[in-house]
Amino acid sequence: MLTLFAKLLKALNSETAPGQIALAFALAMVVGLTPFWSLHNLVVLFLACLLRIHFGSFLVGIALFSMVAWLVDPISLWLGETLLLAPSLQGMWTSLYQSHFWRISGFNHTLTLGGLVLSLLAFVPLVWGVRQLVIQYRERLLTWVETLKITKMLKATKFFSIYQRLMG
Amino acid sequence: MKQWIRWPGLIAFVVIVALLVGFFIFAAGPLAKRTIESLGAQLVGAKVDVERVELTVSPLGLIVHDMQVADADEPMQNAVQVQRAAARIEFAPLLQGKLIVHDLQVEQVQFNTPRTVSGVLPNVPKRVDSKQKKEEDKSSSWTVDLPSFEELLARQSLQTDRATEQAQQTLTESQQRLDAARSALPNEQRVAVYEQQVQSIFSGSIDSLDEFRRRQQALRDVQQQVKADQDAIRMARQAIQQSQREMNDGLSALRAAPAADMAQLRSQYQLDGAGAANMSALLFGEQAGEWARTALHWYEKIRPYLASSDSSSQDVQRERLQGRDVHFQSDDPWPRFLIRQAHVSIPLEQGSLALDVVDITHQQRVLKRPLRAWLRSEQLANADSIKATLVIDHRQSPTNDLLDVAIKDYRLTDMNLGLAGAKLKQALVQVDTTIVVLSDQIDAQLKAVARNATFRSENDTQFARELSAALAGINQFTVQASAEGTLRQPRVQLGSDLDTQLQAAFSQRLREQQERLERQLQMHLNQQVAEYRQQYESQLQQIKRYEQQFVELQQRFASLQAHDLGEYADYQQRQAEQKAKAAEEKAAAEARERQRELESQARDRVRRLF
Repeated sequence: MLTLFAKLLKALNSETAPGQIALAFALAMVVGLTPFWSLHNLVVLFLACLLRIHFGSFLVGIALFSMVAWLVDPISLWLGETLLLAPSLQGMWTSLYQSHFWRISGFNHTLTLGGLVLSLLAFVPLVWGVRQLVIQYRERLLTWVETLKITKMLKATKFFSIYQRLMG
Repeated sequence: MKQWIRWPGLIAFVVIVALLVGFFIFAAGPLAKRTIESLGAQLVGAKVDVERVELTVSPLGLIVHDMQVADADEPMQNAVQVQRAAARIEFAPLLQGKLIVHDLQVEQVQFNTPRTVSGVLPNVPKRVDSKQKKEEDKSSSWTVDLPSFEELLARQSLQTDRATEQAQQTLTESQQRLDAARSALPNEQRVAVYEQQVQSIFSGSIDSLDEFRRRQQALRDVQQQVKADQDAIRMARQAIQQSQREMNDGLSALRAAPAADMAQLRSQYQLDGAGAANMSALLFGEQAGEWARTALHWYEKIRPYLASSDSSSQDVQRERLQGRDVHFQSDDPWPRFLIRQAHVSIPLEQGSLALDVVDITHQQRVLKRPLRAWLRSEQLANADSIKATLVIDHRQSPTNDLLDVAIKDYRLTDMNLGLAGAKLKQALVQVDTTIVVLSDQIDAQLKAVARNATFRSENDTQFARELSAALAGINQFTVQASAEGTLRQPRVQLGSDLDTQLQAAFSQRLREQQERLERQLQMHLNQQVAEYRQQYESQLQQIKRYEQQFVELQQRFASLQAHDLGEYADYQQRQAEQKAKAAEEKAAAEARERQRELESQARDRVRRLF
């Protein structure tokens, strides 16, 4: 875990494009907010491997959003129930239900659908938000953070040695 | 765009997926073996052993080799042993975590095969050996002609027992009351003291007002004590009267109980001439009961796993943090577990049976189809055909299960009738059975017609000879059975025209047995009652004695209470009157004496004159 956080810190402090970190977090959000063993998560994993995103941030993001899911799950469930039971959408769901592919996707599972819709809605804002945060961090906070006592204390810990090892 | 693509990542993805698939392929077999063994053991309450489970990729499936399900009642025996079971699994539902078996072929199903190791699960309490239990059942109910009077007494709740228990309680309570009464009763010495005190108060003359008042106070004190004793006597008398009433009631109940019990026993066990009507239960009841017990045992085992209504309703409920599947109209619904069709071959010594089952699932509401099963015989040596149809419909409440069984020309041989060594040597039997289980209520009907029947008896008792002679004339008979009521306690009726055929032959025998049994019962009940009757009567005598003593004491106390000194003036007047009266009486006595003397003198003078 320490290694993962060190990687994240390295990414934040390095030349890694902010967009790559932001996209990694957004993809991690999809995995974190929906049941792990879902077909769409295989697609997300595929994208995470194929796209040049920061993989460490992706893994940290999964851990982070899995914790956030404890809070968000009730909303996801409500959203999934509402969508799946909406009379106006019954025709669409029923026709999708006839297809094995869609059924394997687990669209008719309340938490899967609710979590997926919620994470897709938050996807673009999250990419934009995280990207801005990384840029702002590098521009304004990086130098200041370096001067903090706590940073100096951290540098004396095992965590920093891992960080340095990663920095090469 | 190129800078956003990471081609080595694609290789990493392929490696990750390949690792997952590889793990699945290698681990699936052992995992499935362990799952079958642990879930099976939970289901049957005994060890389930699987030699190995093989995974096939194309078509995707599992092959289970040599599965042995131990008999929980007889651990050194397998209830079921399956040589090979091959399941073809649908891939797509598996990706959604649903196990749908397209086709299951179960080969060489054998029952009651021996085991080399015990099938008892660790930490499971030992059950009563079923063999032993069966033997006990046999010996207690079927190998005797009629239940013994000890058995009748043991299994029946008797009024006599209740009456004697009540009598015991009444006698104890009554004895306590009598003891209390006795202690409250003033003894002879105490009464004598009271009388002496009163006598001394009234004896002698009272010369002064103070003396009068002192005596008056002493009288009041004595009378107060007498009054307290009178109250105690009254209370004791009431208590004793209550005891008397209760004991009279108890005695009446005790006298009536044996007769009532005899009437009840007669009607319940049909010890009268109609006892022969139970002969078919005696002849076929054991076998029928054994089959029914086995069927019910397995039905109860399987039933919870078919409780679609429960699991589906769980599906309808919202499960926070886990979510649920919402099912839509479809020709191909996917429950969590489904065996679309299963074929089971059951080789027997006499031939073989083939069982086809479709739609085995615990979520019939999702599947929207009931479980259906068909059993048919294949070249059976001892029957022309056996056909059975089973429908288990748990889609809605109340659940509705149906079993139809038709057996044509079953060649029954050497069936032990469990009575006087009698055996049904051979018969051709047609059986038609329909069992409907609606929720928890069973309605079962069975009709068996036996043709070309021949009987024989191995015993040489009088009864066996009578039975043998009676059976010799019977060529065809029908047995009808029905069960209604709840699954756990159905009202079972077993009847046969065999009864009427046998009734005449047995009525004499049964009458004798009945008389003997009734005599024993009557004697036992009367003995039981007699002991308490004696105690009752002795206590009632005691009560009468106490009552008499109470009456006497009350009279004496009433006379003590009647004493009164009155006012002092009255006392003086009474004393003066008494004195005057005494003086008057004295004067009268003196006058009479004087008169007698004068008369005597006069008589002497007259004598001397002549």
